[in-house]
Amino acid sequence: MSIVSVNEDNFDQEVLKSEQPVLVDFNATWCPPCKALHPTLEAIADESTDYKVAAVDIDESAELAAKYEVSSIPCLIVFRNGEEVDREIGLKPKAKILKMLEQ
Amino acid sequence: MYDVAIVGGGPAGLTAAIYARRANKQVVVFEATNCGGQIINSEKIDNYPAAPHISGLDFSQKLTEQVEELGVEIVYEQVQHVTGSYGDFQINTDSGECHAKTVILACGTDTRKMGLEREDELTGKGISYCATCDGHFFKGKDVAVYGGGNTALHEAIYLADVSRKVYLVNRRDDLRASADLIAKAKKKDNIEFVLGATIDQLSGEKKLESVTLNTGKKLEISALFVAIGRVPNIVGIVPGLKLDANGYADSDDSCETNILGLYVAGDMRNKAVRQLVTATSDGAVAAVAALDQLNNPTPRDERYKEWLKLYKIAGIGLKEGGLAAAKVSEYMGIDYPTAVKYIDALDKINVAHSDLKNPVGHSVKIGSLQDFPNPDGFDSREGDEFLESL
Ligand SMILES: Cc1cc2nc3c(=O)[nH]c(=O)nc-3n(C[C@H](O)[C@H](O)[C@H](O)COP(=O)(O)OP(=O)(O)OC[C@H]3O[C@@H](n4cnc5c(N)ncnc54)[C@H](O)[C@@H]3O)c2cc1C
Repeated sequence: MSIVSVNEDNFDQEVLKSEQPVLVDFNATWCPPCKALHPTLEAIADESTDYKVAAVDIDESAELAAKYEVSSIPCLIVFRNGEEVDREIGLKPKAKILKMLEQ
Repeated sequence: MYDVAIVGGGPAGLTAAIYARRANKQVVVFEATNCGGQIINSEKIDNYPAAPHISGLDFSQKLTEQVEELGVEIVYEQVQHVTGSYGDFQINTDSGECHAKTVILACGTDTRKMGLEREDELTGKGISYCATCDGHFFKGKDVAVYGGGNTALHEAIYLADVSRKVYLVNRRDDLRASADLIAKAKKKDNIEFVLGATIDQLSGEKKLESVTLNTGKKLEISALFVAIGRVPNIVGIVPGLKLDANGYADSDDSCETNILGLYVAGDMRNKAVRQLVTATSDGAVAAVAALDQLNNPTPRDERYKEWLKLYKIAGIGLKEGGLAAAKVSEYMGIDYPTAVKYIDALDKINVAHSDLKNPVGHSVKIGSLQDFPNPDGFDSREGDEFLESL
């Protein structure tokens, strides 16, 4: 699978109502570590069919960022059955991100 | 079994990979997060030769592509431990292990934390270590930057254009940052300098709301950007590795550590200048030292002893004759840093110079010997005879 672009219009459908766990990457085009994290997330998305990887541009979807109180990016949040179950900020190793998803 | 395993895919580690791979060695790089290292946080690099104005991210991407093109294997895992010794080091990562004959550590540094209560809890909730990443969330708010170095001043200047007010809090009364940055910051009328003060307490219910200084003063702020320096990333990865008092790895001019076959490159080394040029330079030097070790199975120490014996007189002659390391390196077929080291070693043995009646003459004499023996193929009996014959 590839990374799904998510915004205020499809967040409900793609993330909250998803049957699979979703890893959401809150990012911005001007944030260098966000760009650096991208290949890792792409690799995770490519390798798995067990979960979904989604990306939210915080400039485009400022309300979502505010709703989830994102004030530091990149910010990774794992949603399971519509609930936030884990959160990490900053560049993280692949193994650590996979661990977030396994829990 | 790899020839060279490199821990850390920053500028130092990736440069080491280029050198080792181009010498046809089997090379693996372990990178915990993303290749490129800390420089990805830099908007613009202006002091790397021949690449003016390049962004940190572009620099990292270009370097990573260059390494991948050469066929270096990059494994995105964090290394937990390096054990074993020259010829068979064991590298343990989150999910497995691998073996390598030599290891180059290039783990760089990470931001220093304040060590205050609630710091971890409030990180991402008002506490940040990167203004260019998070400043945007505090548009029109009051914020503070903690620190007095270049990074702190860069952040304060950046934030001055985004936030309403920026307090710059620094422990010392003077600022370590460069004069031009300080001048730039002073021109911003919404930056207030709070010097000679430390932050002692972080407060706020769900997110940061204020900090209390040692002076008792309280600053009501929405965000605190911490820029109080960096700390080396190695603590505990390699048992027995000699570190200095601040946790940086001790090494010599060729990046060798106290462990044979283990080298260290970049910002995690005990050294004076921590920049891209010195990181890439270390990477090259460490890789060449590792290659030298791999290509010459006799431990370096042993070889030095042999060389010293044979070239003691010649070396002094060369030095006194004004021909320095370059000449020694040419004669001995060794690289320049080794030759410098060799000459230093000669100085330390403290051979009475007056014993040598005509050092320049000696050097000329030795220089004219066409079949000067190759130090590595040399046997010590021959050396003794040679010394005697002089
Ligand atoms: C904001 C900023 C701006 C800068 N601007 C400039 C500039 O303009 N010019 C300049 O010359 N220098 C600049 N520097 C300094 C420069 O970035 C560093 O000197 C350089 O990056 C050091 O390279 P390094 O390879 O030693 O370490 P790093 O760049 O720190 O790289 C180390 C790498 O090792 C990885 N790692 C650490 N531990 C492990 C482990 N256990 N297992 C696997 N991987 C691990 C890390 O994830 C990291 O990718 C700047 C630094 C910053 C932070």
